[in-house]
Amino acid sequence: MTSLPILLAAMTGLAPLAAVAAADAAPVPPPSPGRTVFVTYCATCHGPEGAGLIGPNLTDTVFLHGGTREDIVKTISKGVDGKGMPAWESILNKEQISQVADHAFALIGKNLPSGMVAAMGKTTVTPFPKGSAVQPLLLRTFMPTQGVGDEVLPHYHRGLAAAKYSPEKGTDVAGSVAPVEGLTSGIAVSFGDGLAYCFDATECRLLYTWSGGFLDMTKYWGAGAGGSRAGNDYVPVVMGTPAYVTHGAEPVEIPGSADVTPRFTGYRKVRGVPQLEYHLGAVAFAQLITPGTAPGVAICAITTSGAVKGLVYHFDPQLSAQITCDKGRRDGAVLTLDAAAAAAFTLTIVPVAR
Amino acid sequence: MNVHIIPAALSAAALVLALAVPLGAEESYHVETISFPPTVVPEIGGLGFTSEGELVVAMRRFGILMAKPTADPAAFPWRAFSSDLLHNICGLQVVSKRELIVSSMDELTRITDGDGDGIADSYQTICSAWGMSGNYHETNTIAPDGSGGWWMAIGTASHNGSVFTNTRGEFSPIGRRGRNFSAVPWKGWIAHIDAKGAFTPWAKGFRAPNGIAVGPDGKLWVTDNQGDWRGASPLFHIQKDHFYGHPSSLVWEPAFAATGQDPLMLPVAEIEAMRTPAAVEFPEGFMCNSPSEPIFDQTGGRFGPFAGQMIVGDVAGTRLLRVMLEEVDGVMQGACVHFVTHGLRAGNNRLIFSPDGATLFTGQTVRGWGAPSESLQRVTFTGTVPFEVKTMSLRKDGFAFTFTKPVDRTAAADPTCWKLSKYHFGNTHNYGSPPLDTMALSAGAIVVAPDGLSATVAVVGLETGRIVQVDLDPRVKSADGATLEHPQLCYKVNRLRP
Repeated sequence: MTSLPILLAAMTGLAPLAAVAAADAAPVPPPSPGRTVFVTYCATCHGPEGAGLIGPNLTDTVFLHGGTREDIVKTISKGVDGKGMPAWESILNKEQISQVADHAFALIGKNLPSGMVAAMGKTTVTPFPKGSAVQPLLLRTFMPTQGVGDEVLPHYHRGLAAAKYSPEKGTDVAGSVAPVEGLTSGIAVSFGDGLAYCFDATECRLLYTWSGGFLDMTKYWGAGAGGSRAGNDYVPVVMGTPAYVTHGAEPVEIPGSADVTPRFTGYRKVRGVPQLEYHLGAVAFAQLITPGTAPGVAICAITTSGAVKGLVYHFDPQLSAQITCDKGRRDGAVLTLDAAAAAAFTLTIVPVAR
Repeated sequence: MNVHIIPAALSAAALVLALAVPLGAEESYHVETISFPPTVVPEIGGLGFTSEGELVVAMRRFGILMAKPTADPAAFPWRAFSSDLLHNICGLQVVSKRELIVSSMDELTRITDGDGDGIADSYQTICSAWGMSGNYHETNTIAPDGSGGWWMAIGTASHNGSVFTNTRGEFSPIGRRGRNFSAVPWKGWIAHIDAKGAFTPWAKGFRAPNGIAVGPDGKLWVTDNQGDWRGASPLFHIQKDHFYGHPSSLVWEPAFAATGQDPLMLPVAEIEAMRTPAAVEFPEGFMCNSPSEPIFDQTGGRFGPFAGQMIVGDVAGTRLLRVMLEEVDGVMQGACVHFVTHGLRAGNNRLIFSPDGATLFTGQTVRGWGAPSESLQRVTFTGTVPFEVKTMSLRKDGFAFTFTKPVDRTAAADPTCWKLSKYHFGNTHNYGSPPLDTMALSAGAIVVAPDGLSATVAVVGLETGRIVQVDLDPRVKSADGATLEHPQLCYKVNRLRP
């Protein structure tokens, strides 16, 4: 029997994301109706791939309640008393049950490693959340600056030292209180060990990427299952290997307009992957960041509207070698996209050479 | 919220005690703990129901789950509407099963499921007009305004946390000082956000306003938490441009800022003169340590005998409270009393009634303010009417009380069964306040109605600005012998009957 600590450690963000890997590969077909029902209702307990979490692994050939399609329909419909399997016939209609039974039937024999083990460490029950390529995890949180300089952050204000105040005395006392390094508006996304990134919703800019891990949230969430403050600065710790850290002023120039004021408007999920949406001045951007084939590679598929005269990117000379584009004219650190190219282009950011 | 630690041992003891229903009493409110998949830490920041009857639970460390409640509290068929971790979800409005409004530390967000597959696919920013200093304490909460917009209560930062080198919104070094502070805009304010996202600061002077609700009559209510400039946790009736006592927020009031004054150095008497007093105050310790979301019982009696009254959760206590409000001389005031004190965990942060009105769900999180208490419980009226003081109302010469069941008329008519006192709390830089100027009051003439359902008690010495605490003696039983479950009430006298 699985011990309790392992059970707790095995908890993944049960995340029935639309479960399709988005990478720099060919488009993946949309999920089957049964798969959609499965990730919505069943993945909570059986894991997104059916390999089991708190519910049993459905991909092996060990049948607890019968292995025919008919048995599966019955188990789904009627549930299993005393085992936490609800009678889904009160929730799902017959067609949905049939579809998800097809999906479950097709899982038999895949023999995926138990989700209990596969999910270890990828949990929001522990302070070590983590996504995967199949199931990216988005976390909006305070973030560390990772050395990103003030020139990248012109739309933030500067937190300053303030006179030290004594809550006990109700007056200022000698000394001052300094701010700590941190960013308020981070959107952190994990694709597992291959890629993680931090996009900033105030500057509407990809700030940094890394690979090999995600975030240690202990200082913000507390240790273990949380509940206790662990520190004073509440800034998560980046785990893994830095791949890219931006610097320099906003690289985007909008020909004919001096206004590149950022305005974050939200994000959409494209097959489970966040597509970040924002304006720079009058131009609307949508940026879908996915992992490349090598660790730390970020594929940034960008579409815009309103860039009637195209766009010009002035990359920081030190970063220029890390960034390529599939379109436009490149002249050293300057990328020029005409209106057609600016409508849809892809920047590929490779890890810094070591 | 209050920076109060609930010792784990005390909580455990309270839980053991709480599990026992009062001896000999038929249970009136049945409390159950709802199970989640063990993959979820249910730090609950928002609760709601869809029109189809699915419960919506928004969490800080998971995302958003939905399930149609089942009779078995361990068998809710949870499904994940969203598994994105927004920045500490603090408030939720359910528009439909395909559209939710969520407030988190950094923005008000419209989350929609455009393709109808049951999974959210769009997260659009409605408003992010307030600042963020990087301090963990700057939570907020929302209430729909009934016209497509929202009211938002925005909490201050805590000296137990830092601010960042990069803040969203202007940084005020003056506002950075204080036990709880307002280093960036609109910390310590109530704001209105219209349907298009336009943000209007509405009222100021708040500390940690962790509960907001619009009443059936349209009045706006906010709970706040005891601490600096908060002698006791208050319930406020919110009026535009009023000031509610915590000075730090004044740094973002243009007229005040123009004076160049340091709000923390204002004389206490000056702050007192500016402030709109609370409608109700919850004394710390015995009554409530950290009031959270208020909800009005609009179930028409399906949740028991308190229809129309307000119920408030306690984040730092294993209890729910009941509030009886009335307007006296144009000003709102009233009494608070314990409501459900058995079977509950601490962390009662968000409340929602089930569509049938018989059940109240309480979403719990303590989130660093004490021993972990992350959970969801439900409280269901069993149909057995508890013996309680149903209402307490001010009269010219004292108070009128009604009971949920006929009272034993002999004991109720005995003045020695009515222990009364009055006191007030100081509002200073210190954390909280002991009761000040406590004076015993005497019950005078008592008239108990022939049916035993009401009584009037004459009291000499009532004055404004005081809380009148009533402790009914255990001898006051119902005519059928039931013990009064919660015999202690606190009435805030803002005005006397003219």
